[in-house]
Amino acid sequence: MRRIFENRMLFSILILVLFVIISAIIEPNYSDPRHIFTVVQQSAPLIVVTIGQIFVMLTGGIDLSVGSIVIFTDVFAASLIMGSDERTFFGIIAALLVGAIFGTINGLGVELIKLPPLVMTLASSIGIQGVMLLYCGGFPRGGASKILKFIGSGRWGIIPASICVWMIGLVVSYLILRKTKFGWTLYFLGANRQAARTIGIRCKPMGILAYTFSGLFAALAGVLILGYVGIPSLVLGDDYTMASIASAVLGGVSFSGGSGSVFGAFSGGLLMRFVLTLLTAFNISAAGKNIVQGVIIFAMVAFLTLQERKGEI
Amino acid sequence: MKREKKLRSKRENWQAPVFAFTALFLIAFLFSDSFRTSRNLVNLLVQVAPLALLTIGQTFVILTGGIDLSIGSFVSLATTIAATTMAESSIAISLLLIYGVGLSIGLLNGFAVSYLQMNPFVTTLATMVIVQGLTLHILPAPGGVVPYEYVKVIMYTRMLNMPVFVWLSIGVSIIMMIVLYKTKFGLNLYAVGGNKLAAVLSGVRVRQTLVLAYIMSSLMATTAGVMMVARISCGDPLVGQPYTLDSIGAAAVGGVSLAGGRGGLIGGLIGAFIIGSISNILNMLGVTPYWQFVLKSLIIVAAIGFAIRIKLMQGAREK
Amino acid sequence: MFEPLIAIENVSKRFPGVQALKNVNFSCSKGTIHGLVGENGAGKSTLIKVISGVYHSDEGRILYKGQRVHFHSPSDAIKNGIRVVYQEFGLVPFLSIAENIFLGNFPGKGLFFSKREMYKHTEAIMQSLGFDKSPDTLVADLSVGEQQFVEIMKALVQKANLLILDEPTAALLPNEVEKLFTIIRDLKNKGVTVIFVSHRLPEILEICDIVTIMKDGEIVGTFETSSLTEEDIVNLMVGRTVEVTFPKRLTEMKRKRELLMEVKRFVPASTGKPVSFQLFEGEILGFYGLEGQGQRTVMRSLFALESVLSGEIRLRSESVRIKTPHDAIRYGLIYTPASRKEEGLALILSVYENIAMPILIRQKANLVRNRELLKVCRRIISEFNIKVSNLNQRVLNLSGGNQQKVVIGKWFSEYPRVLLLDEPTRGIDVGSKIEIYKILRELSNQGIGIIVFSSDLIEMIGICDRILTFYENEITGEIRWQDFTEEIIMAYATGTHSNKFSA
Repeated sequence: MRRIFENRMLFSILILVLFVIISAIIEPNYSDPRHIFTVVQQSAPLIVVTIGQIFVMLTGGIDLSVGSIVIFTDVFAASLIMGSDERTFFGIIAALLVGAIFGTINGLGVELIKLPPLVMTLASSIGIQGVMLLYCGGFPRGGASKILKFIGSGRWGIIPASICVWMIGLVVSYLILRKTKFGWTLYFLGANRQAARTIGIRCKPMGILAYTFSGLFAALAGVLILGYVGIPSLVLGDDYTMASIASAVLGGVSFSGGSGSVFGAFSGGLLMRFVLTLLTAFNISAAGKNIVQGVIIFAMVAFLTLQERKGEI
Repeated sequence: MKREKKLRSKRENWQAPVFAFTALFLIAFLFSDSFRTSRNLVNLLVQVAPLALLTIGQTFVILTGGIDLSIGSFVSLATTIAATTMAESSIAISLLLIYGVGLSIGLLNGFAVSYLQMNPFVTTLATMVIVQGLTLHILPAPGGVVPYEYVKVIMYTRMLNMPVFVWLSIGVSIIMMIVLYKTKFGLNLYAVGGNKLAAVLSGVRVRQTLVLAYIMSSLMATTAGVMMVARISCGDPLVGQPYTLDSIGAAAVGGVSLAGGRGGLIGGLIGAFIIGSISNILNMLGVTPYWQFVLKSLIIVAAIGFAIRIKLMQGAREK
Repeated sequence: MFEPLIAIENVSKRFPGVQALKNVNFSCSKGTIHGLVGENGAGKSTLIKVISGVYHSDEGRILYKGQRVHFHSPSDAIKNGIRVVYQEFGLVPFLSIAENIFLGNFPGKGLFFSKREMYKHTEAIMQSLGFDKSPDTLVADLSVGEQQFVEIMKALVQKANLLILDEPTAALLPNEVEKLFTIIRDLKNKGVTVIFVSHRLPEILEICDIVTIMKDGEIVGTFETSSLTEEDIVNLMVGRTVEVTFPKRLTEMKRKRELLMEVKRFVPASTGKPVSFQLFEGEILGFYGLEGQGQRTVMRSLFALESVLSGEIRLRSESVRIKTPHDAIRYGLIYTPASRKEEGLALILSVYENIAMPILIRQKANLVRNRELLKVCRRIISEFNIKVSNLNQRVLNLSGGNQQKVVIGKWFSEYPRVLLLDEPTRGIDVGSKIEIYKILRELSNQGIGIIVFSSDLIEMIGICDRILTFYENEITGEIRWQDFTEEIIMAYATGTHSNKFSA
């Protein structure tokens, strides 16, 4: 694991740094620290979602429903908080709970009904969208409280408050993944599931939990977005599914499972965000951003696959 | 020597899909008056036709052990290109362009999976995003112009009360069945999905087979799109989105194993009917659109889960 | 007449980290049965893959029928009449026998295949071999031995000049091995050249005219088999005078005979037949049977990897319920699988992680204490003599023997009570095998009960104290080491004798 950490992670951090430098040269605005931190602030939800996605990818699965969960919790939390500071805590907890529940449902589908993760999470992304529409009837109500707005979009000087959220998220996830039995089990599950079973690992509950975490983090991201934007939105979460996958891949996490570090969420997420911001500066439309995202995923995976194959006999 | 007719039924089990299909239709027939009308049935065929084509393409790819997540986006792409070019230049040129782009991307998918040995899921995920972006760029919102002559030929010309749309789909389906069941390429698909290494070592042209499978998929999807545009009379950048999951669901329900090497088009087409009619039936039963989202995903999960269960039980029995 | 059919000259092949073939010169004459032996990693597999076009050599050249050839892919080699029957099946499970036989070469005009022609040819060849299944049958429905036959038929149908068989008898019943040898001799008479790769030295001596021995990527020598004994071959393979000695057993006096495990009327779901037996402290009990006779099923069912209908298990007179492997492990019952790559190890993870994982699973706490884990890990590595350059090395990169030691050794942070070993020395070199035998005997001397299943009867006779024979999912005999002979054990294992032990 350390190898990969060294190779892919550092590699992606390197690219990140290079990228920032290059964009600073192209667009002189970009060397302004305030601007850099704006991008950092904007990447908070993405980093968080990617952390959850990585939990799942480590076990060899994928979660395509994160985008829908993000939107749902955005809307849900807004309707509970209704701009009131007192209800903020309650709203956040409720949203996280719901996210965890959705995630667990995904996990159950994958482990108990034995649906391929792709299919299950694709189906649930649609189902969750339906639930969301049923919940708000197409018209989301409410909004973030002052506290939440500060967390989402406030700053201390130039440093965004949301940094706390994802930094804590990263550290906690790292500790879980590398310092607990549970985390090691996830890696093992992704590396060789049959061997995991033969060793006495209880594959099903562990597998389900990975999806629970994914739902949980997606919900956290939804809350962050609510804080950043202030009012709930029906569409803002859509791209997060693809973006989280792209970020994970950029951060060096392998699709087949068993390898990758959660810090890839940081490097991959930031990089993704920087790329998108640069594109906006060049006036590229949402469509164009899609294309670029797709190309990035494609290129990155092609590159990684070729690298892997070289080592194979 | 004994010629067991059971050959195809072992490699492709269509009993379960047929059963599900019959059950579904019986329920619909009994519980909804509006379902029974011949008008609705023709409507149903029109609705199912594009999904049928897509399921054919998806089946080809899944048989090789892969998957095509970009399949739905081809449909959208086709409609948007059509709606923005057909009126201005000729229908023929527009079609040429549509197929050109569609097939090239199919080729890209196939190339990535076979020569670069990339994971099909990621590859087609990436191309889906790219094609979606392209589509949104061409036409950010539903609109565009579709020449009436085109719509007339495809949708309104009827034989036996069914539009050309449907007949074309039936024709294509038959051709594809011949391809799968009677050609060497068809057998190669099963070989590549069943045991890729064995196929390679036996001299099967694995790479070409893979590339062709993805091209077939994009071909089917593009054709579906080309017909869809006549049905909706405009371009729609999001029209194809639901079709991706639907086509996977249809194949799985139809007995095509998601691991590859097992299943066939008969089951796949029945699966397409089943999945395709769900929306129709829900509509007839008066279910609101929001609930349809939820119900449909539940049904797909249940249907595929069921299909997988059956496969597991069969596997245990066969040992 | 003695011009070689194929000659490999000065061929070398390198892979990242290992020189698989070093300046190899090998040749094989027409109409001979040519054996190829060597330890795992000696280069046999690489040599075959170079001959059959799967790999390109880095240096050197290949002469086929006197002409220089360059195979770019397996299909090139196939076109030249070179066919390989691999150990791991080159068959597609959901295609029929006929379709598999003609895989890559379907008869028929243009795009379409001719079912009639395929069936005609298939039936013809099946008849000539006495293989009586319908050509329609899906390969997935055949037994392992039957599948191997299909592979051979496939090679034959495609008119091979040079047929390479890689461990062809590994999965065959004795009567099937006989059939195979008959076919091979028949081919020889027809002028086909056969290269026979095997670990089973008695077979090599029986069927081959010539044998080539490889070691460490080089050719040690090529000899007429009539001039060699098994021991000669082993010595040449290993390069030192080695007697495959099995560790001595303790005499009756020294051994305590306390009952460690008792299994009563244990019925695995897939067999439906009850078995009962006892395992004593400090003994190595063998489960022997031919492929698929229930011995592996019972082991795996005891460990709850396969489902169980009913039965009682007692460990030291305590009745235990084992519903999952986790339960079994908690009671000190450990199983090591036959297929280490698929079930035994997480190849992409490091040695450290593979060894630490079982330790973590057993510990109640969730916290991972690296320092302590490393200590235990290092202890295990030295106790089992596992050769690693660095604990963070991927298990993938270890040799077969060392991998197998990890498979067994990783459980030894605590001493198990009972070890169930499924093919513990499969596919590993002689040196490592001997080490493992020693380890097993030491463990049993310390009181651990061991149940072993190995398809190598000689090995079983060498290390077991007692053998239970399995036939048709039942225990048919119990033989003590004093009475071990191959004939007796085989007789019980093929159902000729029967001392029924199932209660």
